[in-house]
Amino acid sequence: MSRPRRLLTWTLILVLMAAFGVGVNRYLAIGSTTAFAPATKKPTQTNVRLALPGTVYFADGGGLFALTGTHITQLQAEGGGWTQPVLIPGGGGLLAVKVTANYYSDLYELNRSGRVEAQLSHDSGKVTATELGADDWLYYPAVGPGNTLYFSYDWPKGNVGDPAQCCYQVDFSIWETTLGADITRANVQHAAGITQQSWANYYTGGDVSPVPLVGGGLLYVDYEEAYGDTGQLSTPLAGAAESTVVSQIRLDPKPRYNVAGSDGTALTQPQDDCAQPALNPDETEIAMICTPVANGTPSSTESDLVVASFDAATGTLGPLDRIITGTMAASPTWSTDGTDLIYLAPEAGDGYFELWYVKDATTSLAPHAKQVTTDLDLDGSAAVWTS
Amino acid sequence: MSLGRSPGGPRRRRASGFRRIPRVRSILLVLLGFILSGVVGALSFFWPTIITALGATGHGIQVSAPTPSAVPGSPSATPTTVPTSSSPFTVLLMGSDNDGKFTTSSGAPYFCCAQSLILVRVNPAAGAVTMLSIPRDLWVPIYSASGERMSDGKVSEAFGDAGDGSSGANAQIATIEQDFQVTIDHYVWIGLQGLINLIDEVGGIDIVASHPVMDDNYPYDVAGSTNPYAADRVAVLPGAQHLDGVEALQYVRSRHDDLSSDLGRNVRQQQVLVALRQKLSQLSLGDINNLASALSGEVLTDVPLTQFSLLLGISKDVGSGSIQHVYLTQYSPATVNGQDVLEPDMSAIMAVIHQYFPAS
Repeated sequence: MSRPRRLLTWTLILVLMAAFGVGVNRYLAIGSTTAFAPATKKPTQTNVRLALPGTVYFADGGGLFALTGTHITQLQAEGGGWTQPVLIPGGGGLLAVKVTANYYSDLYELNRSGRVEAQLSHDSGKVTATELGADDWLYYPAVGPGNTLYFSYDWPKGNVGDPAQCCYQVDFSIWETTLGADITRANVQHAAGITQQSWANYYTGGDVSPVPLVGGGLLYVDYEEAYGDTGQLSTPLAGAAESTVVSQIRLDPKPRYNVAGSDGTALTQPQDDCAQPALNPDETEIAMICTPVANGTPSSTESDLVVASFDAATGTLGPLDRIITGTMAASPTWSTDGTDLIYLAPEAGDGYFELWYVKDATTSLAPHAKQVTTDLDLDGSAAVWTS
Repeated sequence: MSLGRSPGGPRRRRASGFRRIPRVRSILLVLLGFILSGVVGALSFFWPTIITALGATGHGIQVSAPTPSAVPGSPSATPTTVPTSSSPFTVLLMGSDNDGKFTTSSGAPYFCCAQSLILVRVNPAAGAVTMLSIPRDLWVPIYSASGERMSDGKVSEAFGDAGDGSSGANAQIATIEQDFQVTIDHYVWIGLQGLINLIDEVGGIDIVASHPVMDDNYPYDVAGSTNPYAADRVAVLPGAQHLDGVEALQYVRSRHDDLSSDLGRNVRQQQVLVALRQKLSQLSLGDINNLASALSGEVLTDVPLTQFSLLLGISKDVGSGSIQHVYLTQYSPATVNGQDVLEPDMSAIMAVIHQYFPAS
């Protein structure tokens, strides 16, 4: 090989070596960007795997969306703090909660295109930035017969008048008013057209998820001390450590307004740790989320989708049928014909919550869940499913 | 004869040699060049991580051997070996607001305690992980970083009593090893902002919250706060929740409206760790720069850089169902020197600890 050719060859090899080093560097860099790239997309940019009948309204990233077939429409922009959409019965619009993070949340009425029609609550009560106890949380709106509005409100609070003691006890109780009434702390505090429907167990988180029955009465979830010496539990949870908190679904058949202790009847047991009830339209089935409990401690990494028959006339619940297990199921919603369910659960392989569908949830011997949405990370509120 | 040698003779021999031996040498040289080039390329990529990590990792556990214990077969607190791919090892996870935002009466930075103490035993061969939370208010003998018995105190105070950084970690390790007769192979300490950064870096975490976590007096002392005594309102609702770093910290740190108090926090801390593991298991080595950047100045550990890939591999191999959650509840509330503390039932606690952390 001649000297010039050798020189050329070695120069080429050196260039290739340098290129290899740069390549290794870039390869690693590419690896980093793929793993850390956001795995979620805007709902309007995702692929919907399964077309559901009717329209599903849901919240994601502080925005409100409507899913019809495989098409997702944005009703309110993400980042707006929107959550917990519910339907106003009788062909009305939507109610939804708008959260101002770390301060308060308010209830709004929207039409089905997402336009705000009215602000129904005013929960920012503080005058100075440090008066945190003057703000309130309102969540879990639900409309019952006669346009009766139920919601969870963090009142009464403990020791609000004493700054030194202020703000430690903050639990939800369920309140009731007429849809359209002005909801403020003052009106709640003085029962001005707003009445207390349930009394929270202190320091448990309180009472949430009201579900009004057509014939009167209310399903709701209360959180209780499993140890049993201060809460409402009739049967303490075996093996539970002192101060363990569990949930029960309760039925208050005939609301006794402003009567402390109108706790209703427990439909589920402490060891079932059930919450997030969804009643089918003819009120014969309840879907719910129950947490496996071992040695008195509810699981923190698994929650099951459970279905049970329900007799509203007698207020009795049938055996719990755990139809989806081994995942983190949440927020079930019935189809309008009361046969199918949608719920939230992580997509396999990552922790992002997607919408899932179960056909014939009450009759199928081996219910099989199908994933509806992809590349989302849905928030904790149940979707609304309408025809 | 010598005149007969042509000047080109030796050159021919060299040329002949150049064709045979140097060809092999040349190939090796080229291979070496490529390897070196690749190493330089990789080093240049990881350089920011190496610099950051040098400040945070490699702190050895320097704890004196404990005094003989009454517990038969009790383990030694002597620093142990780096984990291999199959041998079980125990890591102490510590989380705290030990960032010196408070000052003493003399104006010096006051370093606080390890608010979260979780022992994690990893058995790579079995694909199993056990997480055991130690309540921060357990009233136990406190040991110094050198293993010297100090006064009694809350178990979490060992970290702050020793000052900051690795000396605090060593004191915390000595206290737990002595009091609970376990061997700690490694530790990881993370600050509040570090946890926020880490969770934000992986895009947040996803959990199912068991009950409403409410607080009207949550300490707003990180994430841009300039007042260590500022407060915020917190409401994490039950059900599916996607939490960013700040929200996740609120979830694990809030306690004012929780009947379960520290037990509730311990449960939520382990829950968040499992959710975080889910996200971290998706990482590759190429992500280490972002990780190091997120944790810069907010983490201390004695886990050497070379073991990160092993830990990442273990994280991927262990499913959530293979993680055992243990919470110590064998105590009773008490008041000591005006402080609300937890009086431990040590015999019952030791039975639990040795069930899950066998003496070696």
